Amino acid sequence: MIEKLFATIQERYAFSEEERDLLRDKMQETADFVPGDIIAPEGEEIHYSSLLVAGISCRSKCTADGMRQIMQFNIPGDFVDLHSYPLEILDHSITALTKCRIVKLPHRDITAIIESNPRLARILWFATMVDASIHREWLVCLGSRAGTKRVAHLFCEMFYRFRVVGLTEDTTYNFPVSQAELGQALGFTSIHINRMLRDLRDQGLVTFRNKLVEIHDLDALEQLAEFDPGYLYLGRRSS
Amino acid sequence: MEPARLSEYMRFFFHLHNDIETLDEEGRDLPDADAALALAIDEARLMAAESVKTGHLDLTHNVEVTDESGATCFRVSFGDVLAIADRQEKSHR
Repeated sequence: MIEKLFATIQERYAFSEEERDLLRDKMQETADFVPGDIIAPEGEEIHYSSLLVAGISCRSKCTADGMRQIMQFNIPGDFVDLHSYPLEILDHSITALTKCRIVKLPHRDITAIIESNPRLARILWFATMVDASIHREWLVCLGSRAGTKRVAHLFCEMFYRFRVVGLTEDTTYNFPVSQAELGQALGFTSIHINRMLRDLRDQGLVTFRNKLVEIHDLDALEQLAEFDPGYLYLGRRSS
Repeated sequence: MEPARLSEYMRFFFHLHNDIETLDEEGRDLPDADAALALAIDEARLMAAESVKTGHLDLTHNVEVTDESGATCFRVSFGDVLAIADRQEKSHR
């Protein structure tokens, strides 16, 4: 059930069977959500962290007039709120965009891991640092990458992230979000998103249709987006 | 006023007719036609602004809104939603 988490760890760290068993042992309880459900609420005390194992969710905040800014798309294998352990109360919420299933890691068990297995604690810390890195890259996108570059950048990022957890086929992947949700992430209206998707398709770079992303020319898409996957910290760490 | 329940929402499609046609296959669920018109006006202004960035604005470019049957509800052209003053007009004031 939590094998996709192991894939994201194994991508970066040597990961022993004992460490896997430790997490398997502590991560038993699941919860299911339908689109629109809040997985991790803003402003309430949280006692467990949620590992997304199926579906797509998003990290977002709303403005006073109800506009939603999506700050990250979560995919299977992502701990959506590991940082709720030290923070206890989140300043944003995690919302299911599709049917979702999570596996809980109780915060008291994270305390136990930190005390008994510092290496695994560092691995979990690393995961939250990658989230922070993704947020920094999104800031650059929102502030300094215009139009189709910004859209292309997201499709590149999601390709690399889905690939780590085995959810790509060649350069195609399912990305079950709406154009409106893409707009809420990228700061465009849905009609503008639609127009830019048309441009990207006409340029032979990528097609997004029926929730399927088909990248036709990954090199050219990355070049347009000025995409450098370094911020995803893929590949084995030294320790 | 009670907010409309999602089941009462209607789906509207926002097609963009500018230098090329971009048809909306996904649509947006909105409470009523007024909400669709308001959104179309916002979208038309934003897309006109995008045109301005390229240095070329065609006021006949438009956003067409259709309902689920494919019937056109409105067509909002860029010129309909922009008040444009030029220097000559101003100098007469």
